[in-house]
Amino acid sequence: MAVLVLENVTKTYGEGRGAVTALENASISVDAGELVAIVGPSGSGKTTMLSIAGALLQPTSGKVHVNGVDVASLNSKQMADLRLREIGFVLQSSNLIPFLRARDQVNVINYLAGKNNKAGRARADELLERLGLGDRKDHYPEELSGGERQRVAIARALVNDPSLILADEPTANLDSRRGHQIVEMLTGMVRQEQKAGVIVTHDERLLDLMDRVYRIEDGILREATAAAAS
Amino acid sequence: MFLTPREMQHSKLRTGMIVAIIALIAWLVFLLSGLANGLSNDNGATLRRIEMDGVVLQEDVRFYMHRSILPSDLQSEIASVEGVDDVTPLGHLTATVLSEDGSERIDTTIMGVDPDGFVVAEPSEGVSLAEAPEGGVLVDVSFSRQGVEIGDTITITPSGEQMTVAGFVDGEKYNHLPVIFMPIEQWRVLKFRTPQDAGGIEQPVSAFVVRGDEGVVDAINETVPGVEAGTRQDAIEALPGYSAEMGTVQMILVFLFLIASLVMASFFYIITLQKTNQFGVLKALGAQTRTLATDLVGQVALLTFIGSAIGAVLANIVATLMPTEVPFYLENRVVLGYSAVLLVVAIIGALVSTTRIARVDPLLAIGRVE
Repeated sequence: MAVLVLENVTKTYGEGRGAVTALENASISVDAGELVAIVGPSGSGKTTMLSIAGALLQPTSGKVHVNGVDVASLNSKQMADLRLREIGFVLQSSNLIPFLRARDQVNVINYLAGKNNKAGRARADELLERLGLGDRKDHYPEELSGGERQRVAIARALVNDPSLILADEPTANLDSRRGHQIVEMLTGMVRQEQKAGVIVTHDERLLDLMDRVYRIEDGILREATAAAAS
Repeated sequence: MFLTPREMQHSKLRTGMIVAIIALIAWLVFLLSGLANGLSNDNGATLRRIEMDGVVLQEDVRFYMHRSILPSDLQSEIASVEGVDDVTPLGHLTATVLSEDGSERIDTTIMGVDPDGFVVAEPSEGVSLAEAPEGGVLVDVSFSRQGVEIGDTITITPSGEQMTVAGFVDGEKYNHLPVIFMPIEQWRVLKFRTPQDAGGIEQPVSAFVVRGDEGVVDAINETVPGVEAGTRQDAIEALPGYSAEMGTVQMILVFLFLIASLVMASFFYIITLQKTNQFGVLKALGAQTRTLATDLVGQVALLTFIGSAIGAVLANIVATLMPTEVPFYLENRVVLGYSAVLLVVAIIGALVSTTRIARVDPLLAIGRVE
């Protein structure tokens, strides 16, 4: 079953002659256990696409479904709730909370979801251990390397068992070897946990780890053939 | 409250500084209110101590005790008013006395009383006024700081009347001056040297102090001509300088609270602004505005609570270090009350910041708001 469905999604900023179309008639469908990359130059509409898929932004027109829920029918509170329950974000490395230790970066999601109990904390610990952070749990972000921070972000994205994982430039601020390693870890976890994964990136070297690749340019989203992708 | 304790633990310096600022503000509030209370107590301590339900003064003297003259025989008339249980005369005179060796001049309020009435205080040392020998008086214990002892002869200056200290009373002040209690007949001699001084009134007194039912003040005003009755509070407020003193201190307190609320509100607002990005991330991750706002208000309440507690401790330390001449009186009730006001003020300040949280766009987390 498709976890993320975008159908003819258009997003226009501004009105009248000054209107800018950031995304035009984009359609995509991602199944559980499937990993999709969205690549494109900056200003191509990647971020808009990710924001709409992540229930952060309502589209101007078109349909968005996350795990069967029609996002257009939700108010901002319900959108927050949907993000909490169904979507795991792997944001750029700077987006950990500075005053939380690695363990609490993950547990904050448990807290928000009302699951900051034994089982929730055990799941957080387990995820951190699987990501090789067993001995870094009590470290603050400032004490972690860029790669470790991204691994914490992966654990944070997965802890509440969402159906969809969205990664926003997960390799930014990382060298290519570490970047590859992180995305390998991310794709491995997404497959193991049977999530639908969407990774927005400009890093072409990661595409071999993906099931499908979409290219976006000037707000137009197209699926790339395997040949074009490699 | 998941974020607050962790944030406080991580940002110890910032937390410490906020707590310190709140503590200093609270300390200032407590000190000032302690001084205000001390001042107010000092001014009307004797009026506060007397168990009474009303004071009767001459009409049209603006309730000034020192200008009021009433004839003694009014006592029975007042006693016959419905609701009056007990009436006792009171004489008031401001004077200067010389200590026994003449080395100290002490300004004092002399109160002429019925030695068996309820106005005179119980002595903390020495004998009561009723048991004192002829010419014996009770003086406030602050006289002892000027070297006055029981058995000393003190002299009214410049007129030269002498009296003997028969005992000390504790904390008796009127108009900031220590009180001397003496029998009303003795007072009358000091106050009215010629019959003209009393305006022809026989056996004059300054006032009557009344005990009785709740409505006794109104009853006296309605039935007894030529007098004005008032409550204890009326009498305190009519003390010379009282309203001005209290008005000044209260004005300072009000401004202090205003400044405190502005300082705290802007502090919290700046901190909230600094955390805009974090709030964006948390919102993107699915946090509701309400959760974050509750956390902020909880954090502010906690910081204010700790700050006020430290302020209260500091104020109590100062209270014990304060020299006894400085009137300072801090009640736990007042500390709690003002702490509650500070808490409310801080929370209102924090609520202003929560509107900021509500406006944070979770799209910030994506890092590139378009």
